[in-house]
Amino acid sequence: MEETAAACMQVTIHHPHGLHLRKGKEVVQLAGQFKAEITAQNLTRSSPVVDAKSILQLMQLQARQGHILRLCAQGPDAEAALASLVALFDSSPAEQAEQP
Amino acid sequence: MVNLVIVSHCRRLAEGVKELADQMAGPGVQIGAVGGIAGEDGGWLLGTDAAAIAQTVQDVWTPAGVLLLVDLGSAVLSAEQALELLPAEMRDRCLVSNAPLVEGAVIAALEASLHHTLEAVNRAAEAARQFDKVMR
Repeated sequence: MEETAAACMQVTIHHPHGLHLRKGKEVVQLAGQFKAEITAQNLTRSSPVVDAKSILQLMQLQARQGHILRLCAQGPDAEAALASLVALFDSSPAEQAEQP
Repeated sequence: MVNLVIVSHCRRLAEGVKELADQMAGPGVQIGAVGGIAGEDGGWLLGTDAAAIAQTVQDVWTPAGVLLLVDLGSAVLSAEQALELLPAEMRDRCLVSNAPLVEGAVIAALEASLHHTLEAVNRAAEAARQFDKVMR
């Protein structure tokens, strides 16, 4: 199989409660729609690289407001996966009034 | 989709865990909550009742399977007894999970909503046993 380099992007957590459970759910549900392997790392905490399709692993990032995550995707639909996930994180300011 | 049954000694705990798990599940995942033993005064005592658990499994029954998440101790025994009360073809598609109740229910609800199999949903829920809550 042909190995392609992973595409990566950084996102900032905007929500006052950080990457909370329900947001994590949205990330897992969105990531699960793509074939690409998708990983996330909390650069602010120098966390391990985790599987973005696992809610447990996402919660282990302990991502708080202002933290920067590095999302990487590798696979046929990697670019589309990253674009969708970045859009999901960027939608955070609109939900600031929401409860976690 | 796999459905879930939350079993606790405490009725309110079972219902609370269901409330949390419902938020993670899509509309297609049914989650039953069962716990406590009916007291003589109409209130609820702490305990688990195999017949009530079996009824709840039947209420949310689906051929994809039902995962039972239990709190501790005799809830495990009651859940296993409940499965014995079910017809064999139902029992074969039920699993009592070794996952911690809260984490397990949240993960299982999400995994079930992604159309994963009973075995895969349980595997993801049981992975919570190795999950560190606090990073030190």
